[in-house]
Amino acid sequence: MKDVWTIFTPNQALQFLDQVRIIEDGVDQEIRSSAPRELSHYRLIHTRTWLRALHVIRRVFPVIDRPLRVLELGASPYFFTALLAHHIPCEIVASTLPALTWPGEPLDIRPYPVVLAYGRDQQRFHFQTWTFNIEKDPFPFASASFDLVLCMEVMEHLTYCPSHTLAEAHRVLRPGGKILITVPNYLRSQRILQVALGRPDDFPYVGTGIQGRHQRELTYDEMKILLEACNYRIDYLDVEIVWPWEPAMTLPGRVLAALLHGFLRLPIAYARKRRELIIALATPIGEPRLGYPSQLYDDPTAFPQRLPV
Amino acid sequence: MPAPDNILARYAAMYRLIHDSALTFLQAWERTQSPLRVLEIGAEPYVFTARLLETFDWDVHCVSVPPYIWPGEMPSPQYVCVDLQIHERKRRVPVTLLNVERDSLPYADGYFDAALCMDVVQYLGYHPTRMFYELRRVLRPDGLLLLTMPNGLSLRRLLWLIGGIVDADPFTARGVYARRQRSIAPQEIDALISGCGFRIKRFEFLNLASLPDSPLPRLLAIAAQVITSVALPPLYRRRDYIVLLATASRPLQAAYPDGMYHQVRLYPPLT
Repeated sequence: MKDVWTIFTPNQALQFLDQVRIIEDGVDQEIRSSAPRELSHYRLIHTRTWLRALHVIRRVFPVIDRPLRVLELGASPYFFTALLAHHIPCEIVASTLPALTWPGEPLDIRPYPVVLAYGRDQQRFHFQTWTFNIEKDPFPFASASFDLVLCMEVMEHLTYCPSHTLAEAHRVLRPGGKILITVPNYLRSQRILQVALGRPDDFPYVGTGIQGRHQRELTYDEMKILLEACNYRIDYLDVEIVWPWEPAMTLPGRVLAALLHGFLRLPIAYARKRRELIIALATPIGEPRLGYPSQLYDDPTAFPQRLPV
Repeated sequence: MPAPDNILARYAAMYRLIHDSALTFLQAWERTQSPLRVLEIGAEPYVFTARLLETFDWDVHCVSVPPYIWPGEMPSPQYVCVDLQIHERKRRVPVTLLNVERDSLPYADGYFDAALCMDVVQYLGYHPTRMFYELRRVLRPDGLLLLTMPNGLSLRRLLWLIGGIVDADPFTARGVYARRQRSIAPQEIDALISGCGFRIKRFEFLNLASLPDSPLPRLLAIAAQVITSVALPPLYRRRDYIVLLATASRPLQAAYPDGMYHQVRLYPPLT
């Protein structure tokens, strides 16, 4: 009998991620390679999120007896792809939106080769990334073709219709497959604190395009309603503390952050719903459904009622 | 596609105080200036355009974004007209449909005496600098810019966030640009406009936002209005709206204020 797979400690993960290199990226090679500092910052911010994601995946796939078929939406710059490929046997298909793309801009929907190198021996990992708009285009995959769909810190970048993404993910998941979603909590305490202190709290404008910035973050309640409206059964839904403290934080800032973290860890719903990141794991049930809950959509009948063919 | 009457009525009610306030500001300005040509950005559904023409005998040009279309599918600028009933008279207003984050304004340098940018900037998600750069370009020297927008640091918003009320807009089928994409702080809009060649003349905080119908958001909004009606600077700056008057009095330039922009090097050059 196979053992349950083990997961990196935070230090191991940081070391591993420091050694991940994108050898080939058929979509955004130039932009990625011109931003090493931004990629380094990106790794640092997300490491604990990615480890939490691995733990949640292990809850539902504790023993891997065949390569897991995984669709990773919005996968670029592929750090979690490398982490997952290192941890478990898997066949990963990725999707990405080319930088400098306007929302809804017609795309050449096709796969591009990506090659990653990771580990001390710079082991190569080859996979394909598809360019398509996940909130507009039909996913270019057969129904029931994946065990796991990853939608990690992607949904907040959507501009128009996350229900399309969820319905298409539902369609391409096999019965009993899972979708893992992470999304920043709109009602996180950091935002409230920034506004209270008179500081800008919203995501900056980004040179990579409208979808490069957070368009619409969600709350715990909105995530729950949205998943249920799109015919998913929720297996796991929580709001977690995963982001590192700013290295440049002053002593008063650190004291305030410590007090805040103490409050956020209290076992009460108000505190929990003010934490940083929503993590959801869900199973598709019934048929794929374009659900438009009124909390998130102001004119549901004007949105597409059927998935495009 | 004209908006249905019930939508227009709702829109007019929601923005009534803001429009009243803007007209008051413009009337004060009009006594000393006599503008001939005015550009209204984000004019659709033309409720304020009509009020403007009822009040002033100005030559008004409008710019709007076409609704129900993805930004990536928007064609190059289109030139249309909208007919408005002003008192007994029908007025035909020229409208240019374009994306202010992508397209240059199709007007000559210094063509307009005034530009109105009312409740537009919070709907942009990529490049407000392009819009202000272009507005500065098409304004004559010392021409007027009037801007209104919600105060991203208002007490109303703070109380709502504390109370677990989401102030972000829902998704709308009218498209990306029909949903507020960013809350903007007063210091951000100050840096952006000043940096793009404007000199700010008046920077007012007012309570102008409409009250929602739901009981808790409404109660908190009223509480915020009452508290911030006290004329103390820390409370005054927490009122829910910003009304700003600036003049095109500095050299034309593009500003990307720190903290407000990320990966500036990827933006296309403005010409």
